[in-house]
Amino acid sequence: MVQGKYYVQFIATPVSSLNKTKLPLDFEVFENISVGRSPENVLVIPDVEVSRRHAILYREGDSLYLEDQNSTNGTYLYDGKVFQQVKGKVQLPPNALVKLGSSTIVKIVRE
Amino acid sequence: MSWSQERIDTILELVEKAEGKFISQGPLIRLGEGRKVAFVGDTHGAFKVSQFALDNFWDDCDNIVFLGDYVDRDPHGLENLEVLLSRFLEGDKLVLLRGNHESPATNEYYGFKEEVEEKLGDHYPNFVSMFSNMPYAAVVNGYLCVHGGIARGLSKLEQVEGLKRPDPVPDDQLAFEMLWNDPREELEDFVPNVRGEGTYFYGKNVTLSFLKDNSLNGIVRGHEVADGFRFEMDGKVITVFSSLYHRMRAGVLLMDGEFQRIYFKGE
Repeated sequence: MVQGKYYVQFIATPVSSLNKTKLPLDFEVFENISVGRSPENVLVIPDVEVSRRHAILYREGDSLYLEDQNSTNGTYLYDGKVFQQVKGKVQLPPNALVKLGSSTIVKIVRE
Repeated sequence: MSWSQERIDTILELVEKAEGKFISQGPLIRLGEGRKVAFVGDTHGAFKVSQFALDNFWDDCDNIVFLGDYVDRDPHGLENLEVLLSRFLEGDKLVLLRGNHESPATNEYYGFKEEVEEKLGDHYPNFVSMFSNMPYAAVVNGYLCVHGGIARGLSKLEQVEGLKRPDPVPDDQLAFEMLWNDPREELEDFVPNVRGEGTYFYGKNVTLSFLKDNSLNGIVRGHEVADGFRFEMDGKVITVFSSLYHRMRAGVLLMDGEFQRIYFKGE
């Protein structure tokens, strides 16, 4: 079976023009994809409520994991009802909705 | 800078008369089919955009529907209301829907309350009273016109007709969400929004089933910053944004069989 590529898509951000933007998550290049506000991250999020180094994304076998990096305003995973705070690491379901701080939501899809 | 007593008396009289007319319109306005309509999104004090829409589409259109958010963010909310309310009282062509900024919940933080107190003195409660009686939605040519969009628990349009007014915040959850929610075609269902407690995104599944159940073609709404317009869910959900503060273009959407996008070009 051919596995698709992972993408992150912006659903809500303080920079409204970024909404709908879809970026590839290239785990062949970066084993750990760091997510945060400062420019040295693989995935830079322009939101003052997102920590400089907020979370990391990585693969383990065929699963995708998200790990909060002690961010100030928290990392949350949508459980179908509410955004549950992620303590440590969590395995991401297909089409996961992830909230970083209180103003940024991204969807992580595999195509 | 305080206004002259004459100008103060005039705006307060407009507010009082407009409130009476809003009450008589009911919470949902049904405009019918086959109409030529201009839609104007959030103006937030951009009275020149409001004037532009009235000047250019009044004679030619059956209706001009403003989708709410006339005040806050720019200190010319009162000038905007002067332009709109005086025309609103002439006949039934102009429809003024309520936005989430027609509320003390926003006016206390985004400037309109302060603007009223500076220009008119102690008359802000007159505006709260008028805002709390504005209609929440209209239906024209099979399109639901509403500031934010659909709400959790809204299955039939008739529910909108039953919404109680006056409701200053509004506290009614259905009314609140209609003024605050945002569409996202990347989502399926209702998902908590980043705008705060009680606000939601509405996804594609819930939108399409609402439209189908109510035999509607689509939704025209404002509420989110856009360079004039945003079309999503295969063109079924259209955002119109008509402010100047966001430093992108102010749009007016013309519906006459098909859609035409018009941009405000300045004075």
